[in-house]
Amino acid sequence: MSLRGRARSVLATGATERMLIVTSGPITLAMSATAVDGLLPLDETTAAGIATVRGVSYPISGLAEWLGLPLSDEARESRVVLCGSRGRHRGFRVDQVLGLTTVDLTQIRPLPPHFTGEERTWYKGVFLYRDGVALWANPDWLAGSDVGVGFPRGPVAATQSTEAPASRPEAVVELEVVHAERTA
Amino acid sequence: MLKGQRKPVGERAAAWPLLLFSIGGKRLAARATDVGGVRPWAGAVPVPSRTAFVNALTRHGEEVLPVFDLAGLLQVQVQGASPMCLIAKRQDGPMAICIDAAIPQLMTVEFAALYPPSQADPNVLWECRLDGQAVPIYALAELGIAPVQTCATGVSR
Repeated sequence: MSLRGRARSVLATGATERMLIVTSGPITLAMSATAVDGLLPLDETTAAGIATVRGVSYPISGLAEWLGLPLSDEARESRVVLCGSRGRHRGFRVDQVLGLTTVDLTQIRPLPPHFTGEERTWYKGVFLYRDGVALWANPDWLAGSDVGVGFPRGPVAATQSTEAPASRPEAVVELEVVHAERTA
Repeated sequence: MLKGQRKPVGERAAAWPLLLFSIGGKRLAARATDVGGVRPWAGAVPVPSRTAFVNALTRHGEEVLPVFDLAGLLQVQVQGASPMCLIAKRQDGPMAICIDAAIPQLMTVEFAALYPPSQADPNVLWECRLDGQAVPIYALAELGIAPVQTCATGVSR
């Protein structure tokens, strides 16, 4: 919401992308800030089902589970990231929100050619992040796909149960970008 | 890598330098020329994927390599507390394979000692016997890509 159109900036070093970095189980995922509508604290209303925020419904899934990854023993989902792209919306429970960061696009590497399947459309690239590697998720896949990697038949039908009250907009943490410039 | 392999037997290299390694205690080999190096395993980051046996990345300094899950293909578990990383020089780029902690060995095998694999496996070039045990020689340059023509067809590899 607050980040749309403001996440890609051009600095002296070249084009950059603002990304929200999250962890879920063993994976570190980068989401384009333009595709992040906000963050919700994890409580009983957002743990499963559908969260409705400002009239927009977000089916909620655990990100690691949606990606078909095992949850580590230390993993503790703490936030819900609300994603949106091309009119599609989805929320993901994540373990940690590591922060909003600016990534120089020259640092983005393509997925190695050894990956030959559908996943080539899931990621826009990878980049070194801290002492590991972050995957830059394609927002159209993240928010728009009905089928997660770990949900052959789609995650929504199995988890619809509760709704976050629409009257709690104050619970939504919007992400603000400071010093970002809109690209031409 | 494979240049010259279509030459008649007499013109082929008389000896094959091999790297012997193990995964899940199973002895395997690869042509030494198909191996880019061996180093300690630095761990892997899973990459949800639909590509069979390619579902992780490993980072070593600034280098990021895809991981081929040869242990998964063999349906075994890598053994040892400190596994090693074998860099396979696949034709589309290097990739990492997690192998047992046992230090790999270099050795040379006479070409005449090689024979077709006892079980059809598109990833295996030849087999040889070492210490009375059949050891498959994996085709790292094409591992997991496409079926390799078998010796039974009469086509040299």
